[in-house]
Amino acid sequence: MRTMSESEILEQIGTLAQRELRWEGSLRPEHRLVEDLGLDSLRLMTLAVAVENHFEVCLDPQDEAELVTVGDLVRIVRRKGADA
Amino acid sequence: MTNSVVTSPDALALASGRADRGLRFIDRRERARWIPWPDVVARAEAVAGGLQSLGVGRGQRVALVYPTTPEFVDALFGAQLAGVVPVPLYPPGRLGGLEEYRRRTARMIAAAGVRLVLADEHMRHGLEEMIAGAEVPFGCLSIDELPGGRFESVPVAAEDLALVQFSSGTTLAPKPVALSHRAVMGQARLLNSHWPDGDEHFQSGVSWLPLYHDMGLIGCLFSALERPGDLTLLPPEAFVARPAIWLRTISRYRATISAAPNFAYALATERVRDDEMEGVDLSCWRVALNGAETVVPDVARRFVRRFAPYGFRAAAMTPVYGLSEAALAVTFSSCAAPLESARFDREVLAAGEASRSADGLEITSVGRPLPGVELQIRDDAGDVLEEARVGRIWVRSETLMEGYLGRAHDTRRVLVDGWLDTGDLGVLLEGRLYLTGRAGDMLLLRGRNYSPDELEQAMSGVAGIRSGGVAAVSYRRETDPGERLLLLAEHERRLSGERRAMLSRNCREAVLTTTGLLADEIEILPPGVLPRTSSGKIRRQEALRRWLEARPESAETAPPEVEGVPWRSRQGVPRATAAPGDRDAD
Repeated sequence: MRTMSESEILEQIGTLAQRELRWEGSLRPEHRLVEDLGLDSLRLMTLAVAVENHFEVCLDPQDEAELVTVGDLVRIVRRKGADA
Repeated sequence: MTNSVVTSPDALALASGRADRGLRFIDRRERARWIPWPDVVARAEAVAGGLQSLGVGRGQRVALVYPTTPEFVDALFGAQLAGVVPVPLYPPGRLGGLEEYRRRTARMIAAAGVRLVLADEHMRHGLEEMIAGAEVPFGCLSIDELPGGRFESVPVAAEDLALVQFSSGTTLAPKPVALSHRAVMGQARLLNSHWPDGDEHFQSGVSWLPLYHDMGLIGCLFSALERPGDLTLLPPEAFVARPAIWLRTISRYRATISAAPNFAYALATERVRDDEMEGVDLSCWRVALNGAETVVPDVARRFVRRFAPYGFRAAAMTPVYGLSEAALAVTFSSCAAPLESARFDREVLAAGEASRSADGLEITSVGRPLPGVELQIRDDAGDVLEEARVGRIWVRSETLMEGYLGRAHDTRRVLVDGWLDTGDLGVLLEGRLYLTGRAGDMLLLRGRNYSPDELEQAMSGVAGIRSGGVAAVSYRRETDPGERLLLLAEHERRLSGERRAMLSRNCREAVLTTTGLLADEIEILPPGVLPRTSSGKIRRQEALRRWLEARPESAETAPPEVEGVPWRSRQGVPRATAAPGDRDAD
């Protein structure tokens, strides 16, 4: 994957959320996945798999341990993408 | 029927001669890995040898924390060969929530008296720290870290424990269901006798169900072992992310049996696109088991209609009833007939009797007791009720649990004179069982039981909510495609309107972060309005009844065709645009 900027990644995650989760609003880095976006465990799973497939990265629980916000997810995807 | 197979090691010994059958693991990219039974057994023996050299004793418990991978199966059967008791636990969820996960898992590990945790390489992070404080003498290892050692076969008897499973999501006081080899293999044999091979087909399965849950573990994996037959396994998240993978896999491998709960049939109906179904032929699918939650007739019919053009047979839809305390299945409807349901007069039903009525409440028949399973409907005093009377479902069979591990008191409450009180309510009519509800307050959501206590505890911790003035209940109205979660909470006296406005959102958050469950409705009430018992406990069912009464179903709020699938933004879920600015001053 070519190195993408964080805003590009954020935009694409927004598209995924729209498509996979029927997300209707905007997606901002400070949004917390659970508390602000109201994602339950099944939706989190859906988003995780969608992100992995789309960006061709593999998230593992170690990466996800400190993950709280959309911004955290963007940074992890960016780092993983750069490693790949 | 062969009675020489009474334990899982017996079955593995037989299966080791069947190189033509085996397990197939599919990953998210639909790549397959085939492991024939002789290899399954050899891999399990390697784990068994490792457990023996490590010094894990017979009868001791080993927790398994794995996604759906060959290593889970190695660890499961390896433990059983060594006479060690596997305790499958669910792996961490995705994208955070690890703290809560660790707390829950620690409680289950303690409840089962686990001596060793075997875990997937990628899931060990955090587990090690978590069990450092608990008394797990052998710690947390991956299979690769087990010491080498030749497996020495040990005698395993039918009455020895085969596995311990946590059925319900009661994580505050988890109840470990202890099952003997007789129960597990007896259950597998019962299932297999229900779908014998035909002249032109050999039964084979596809499953994406989690392997830490009875329907996936006993219903799919152990029944494949008992046969021994072919089983294709998909990770649950592959299904959740893309339901079409389930149907494509059934078609590709010409599977005849596959099971799922109601919500999954709804999800597939809604989410699978026609372009994902190109070339898919579901005519091979003879038994589509539908259980583990209320079978909603409309949801099942919509699935049948949606996939009939792809060869899905209406007769394949097979509603079933069971529970992990019975090792799984109790009743099965016919595998050869389409969905059967009946309509009952609502008022007569509420009064405890089933009387057919053309415009009454439609309930799916979950069929008749399996051979060797006895079923009675009893009143609260324990007296057997006659046909057409609603009461508690009691069952007796060879496949009942030994009890809740280490919880004699809890066991005595449900196992009485060889009979199991299922806690479910139902009615028998012409020999068929119809489920009408639950005797207790357990929430049945997405195929799992949740105790209302843990949701209520989470809500009680919200500032401004009256501690003890909360209730979590689930309900389904006739037009709902599944159970809905309702939270009722009283606010404290003297609370500013501004603070009060935040309560609904905060309750939703609290429940979501601790349980991963998204409430469908939240109602914040003035203090003191929830009905209570004389000792001050909230009467949940009465509270629900009043809430439903006060909110009659109207045409506008009736859900559209396939509403209720857990993805859709719904009432009570704020849009992202409303989220950041109005965060509570915390």
